[in-house]
Amino acid sequence: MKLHHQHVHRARLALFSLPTLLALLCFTAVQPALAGNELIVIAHKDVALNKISPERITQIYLRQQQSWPDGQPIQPIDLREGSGIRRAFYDQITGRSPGQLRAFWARQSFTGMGLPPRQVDSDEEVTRLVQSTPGAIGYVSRRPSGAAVKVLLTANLD
Amino acid sequence: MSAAVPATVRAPYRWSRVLAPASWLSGRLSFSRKFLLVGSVMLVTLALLSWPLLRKAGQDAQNAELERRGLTALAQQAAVLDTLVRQRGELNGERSETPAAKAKLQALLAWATSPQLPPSAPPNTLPALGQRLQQQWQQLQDLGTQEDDAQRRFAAHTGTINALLALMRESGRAHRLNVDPRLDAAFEMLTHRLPLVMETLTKQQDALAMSSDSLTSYAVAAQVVLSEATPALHAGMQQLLTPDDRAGLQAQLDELLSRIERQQDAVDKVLESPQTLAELRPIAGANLTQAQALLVASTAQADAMLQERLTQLRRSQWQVGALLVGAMAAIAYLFAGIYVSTLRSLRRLSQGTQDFCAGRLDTRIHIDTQDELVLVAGNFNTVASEVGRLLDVIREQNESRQRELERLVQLRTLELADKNDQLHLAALRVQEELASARDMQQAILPQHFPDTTDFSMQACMHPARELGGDFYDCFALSEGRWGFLVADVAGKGVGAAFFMAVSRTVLQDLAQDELGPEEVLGRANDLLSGRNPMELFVTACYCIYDPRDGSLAYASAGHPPPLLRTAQGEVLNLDCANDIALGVMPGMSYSRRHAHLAYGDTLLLYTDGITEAFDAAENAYGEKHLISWLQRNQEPQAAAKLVSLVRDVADFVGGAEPSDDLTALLLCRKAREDCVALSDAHPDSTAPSAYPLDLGAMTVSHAPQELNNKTLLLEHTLLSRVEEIAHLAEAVDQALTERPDVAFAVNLCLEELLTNTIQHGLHGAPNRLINVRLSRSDEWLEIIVKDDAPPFDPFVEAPAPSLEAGVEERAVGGLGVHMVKTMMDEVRAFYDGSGNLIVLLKTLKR
Repeated sequence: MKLHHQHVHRARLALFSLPTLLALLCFTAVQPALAGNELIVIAHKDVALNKISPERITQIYLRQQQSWPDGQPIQPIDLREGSGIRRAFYDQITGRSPGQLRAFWARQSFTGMGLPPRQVDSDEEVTRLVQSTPGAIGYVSRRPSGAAVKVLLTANLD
Repeated sequence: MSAAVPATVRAPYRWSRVLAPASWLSGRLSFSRKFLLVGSVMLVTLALLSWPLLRKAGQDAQNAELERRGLTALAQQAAVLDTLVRQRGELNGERSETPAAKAKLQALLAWATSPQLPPSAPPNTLPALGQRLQQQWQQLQDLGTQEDDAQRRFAAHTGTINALLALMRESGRAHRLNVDPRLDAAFEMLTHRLPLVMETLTKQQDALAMSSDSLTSYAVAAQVVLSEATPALHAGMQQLLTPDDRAGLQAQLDELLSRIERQQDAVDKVLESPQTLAELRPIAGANLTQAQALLVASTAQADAMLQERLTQLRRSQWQVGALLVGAMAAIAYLFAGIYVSTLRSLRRLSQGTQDFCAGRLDTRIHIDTQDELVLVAGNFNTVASEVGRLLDVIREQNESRQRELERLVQLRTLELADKNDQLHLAALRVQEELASARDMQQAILPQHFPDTTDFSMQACMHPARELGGDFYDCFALSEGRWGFLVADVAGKGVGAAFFMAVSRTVLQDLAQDELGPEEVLGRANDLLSGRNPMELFVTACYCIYDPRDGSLAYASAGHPPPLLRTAQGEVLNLDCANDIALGVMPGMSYSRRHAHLAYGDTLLLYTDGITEAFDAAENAYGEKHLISWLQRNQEPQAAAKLVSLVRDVADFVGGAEPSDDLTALLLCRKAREDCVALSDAHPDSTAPSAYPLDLGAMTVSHAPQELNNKTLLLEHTLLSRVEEIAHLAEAVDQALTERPDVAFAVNLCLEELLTNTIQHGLHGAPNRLINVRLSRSDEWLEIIVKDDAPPFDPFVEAPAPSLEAGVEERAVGGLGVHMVKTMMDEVRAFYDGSGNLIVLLKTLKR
């Protein structure tokens, strides 16, 4: 039964991911009101990758991929529900609404299939945790001032 | 034709072919090995048959043991599960991790990393699952150090519990709980359904407690899991329930199920009014306890059932083993018994046969079994009885035959003894006859030989057997000549003796006719050839010697030539013509030869019995030996010379059996001085005294034949008157009263001889004394008549009798002398210088 839910979810994800990304690209192009707002995906400086695709970020944040190519466990850092950038991140990067995410994590939690990413309250805290946690990945709205993190992806929210 | 072989014939043939290898094997094994072979095959078969049973029981027992270990592990895991699900429901504030719970989990993780399962356990993924549990547990532990929300903790707990549940299921599989033939559903309930129910019941409450809409819906949906578990729980419980259900498992399950129903009602109530969540919490807690208790009780029940199964399996193992051992022992016992019994029977048969063969024919074999050997023993006993009976019959027949034989032998022995006695008597008779014949043969040969002033003569004949074929003779001829001969009849024995007697008579008669030696032999040959049915022949050498001049005329008929030894010691073979032996064929003529004996010469006539006398080494005496002896011997007298010759031959022959008659005649002409001396000793003698007939008798020098053990019977002297003879006759009758027949013959002969002496010898002189002496030995009667008349030999000078003429016409004396010769066995007359000596010998044998 759990397997069944998982399959259904994955199918759905595959169906939605491509149009969502196209829409995201169109949205960024036609909505200049959000220009200037960036979404920056950062990682601990020792992470083996220098850049990352949105698909891989989606897999990481849905805990479908739990280790880096060098085998190091991935520690995704999330913002609490209600944060604007979190909504924008999931919208733009994963194409999922907060309701979808809640349902997804409720199922995963109930069945014990996966643990939701650790949630913190602010960008700063994200940056601090990414800096201090090996294998950590997070997303922030502003590029961090220190060079202790590695920027893997930069997306323009406008 | 061959297709018509009946099936009854083919079937045994087929069977014998099928059984041929076994028969072959059986034929090469002793009884003990046969039994050993069959017994071994049976025992091996039994072992092979029971081996799978034992193996199956062993495997089952092993599996049950494994399953029990699985239940032990399950109990441990259930305890950890209970801890984990209870921890998940605890609020952050009341979180309390007891060290005991942690230790339990650590122990579980250590066990899962290396489960230490027996080789019979199926391959498993327990280490991997242990690692997963370890990771989940570690993740949960990591959360504890972080400030985190309830959902993450719930998710981490649930992940850990999921890992534990997976581990529990794998543990069940690794301990073969899922494939147990009778408790698979029960173990499905214990390893999967009940833990899942426990987890679901708490998770339902825990999810609702997090007040999340999304989770709430899942908590409701979890009812599906619970309701789906119900049939499996029932099925599992069915396998665990015993008829009495002492543990009350069914009641516990029913209670649990009804409690689950009540929890669902409470869940529904929480959905409507979230504040009633507080009511759900104790229900869920109690239900968890109930489920846990059911799990523990069910596990114990399952373990008890496994224990019982194990006991049964071990018991069945023991039973199979005992059965196997019992069967083996029974088979071995049976075989040993059969073997011993058969062997005992066979031994009795063997012993009985041996005893029978050893001669104990009353042997009988008794076998007290019911098998075929009894038939063999019976047959043996029948044969033994039959043989015994036959032997009795044979023995009886033998005894009867033996008795008959003994009777016959006794009879024949008696007959033989009788015949033997007869034979013995006959042999004795023959012996007597032969001895008599020998005496007769010896008696007809002259025993006294002339020994005059001029010459001496001596002869002897020693037969090889009782009767000889040789003979000699010597007799006076007219004009003072002497004829003498030596002859040898071919062959020996009675026939030769008869032929000898005939030959001698013929030769003597012819010689008396004053014929020349060649004529005597020629006529004798004609006479003998004409009456010779046995085709015998005789060699002879006849000589006429004239003492007046020493001349010798002789003829030989196939006889060895005479040997002449001169006074000088020279020995000559006298010349002889090669004339044939007498009796071979008539009409033969013989040659006369002449020789001369000088004074001192010796003439030897002999038969081949001398030259062919053999010693023990088969060497012949031979002519050479004879000549040598003749040369050496210088004895002047013929008698002594002959004794020497006989001794020489006897010495040569030694103890060897004589092969032929031994006959020799010696004539020794005395040396001139001897003759003169002798002439001087007889001054009365005139010149013609050299002629024996002129002298009236030859001068006799040697004594007559001596009788052994002589007894004097009569010594009678009478005057030379005829009337005196009657007195003598009376004396003779008295002396021979036991043998009147002999007395008669003696008186007859004495009367004739005394009359002859008185009338012719004394010419009627009346007062001359005549001495008569009668002596006897065992066999012979000797009569000696001595007178003092001039030399007179009545046996020579008496005229030949004329039997054809009448008694009155015959010349006086001739017939009487003939009668005397006939009636007496031996008659001889001698002149001893003082008178004539007449010696008569008469055998006393009847």
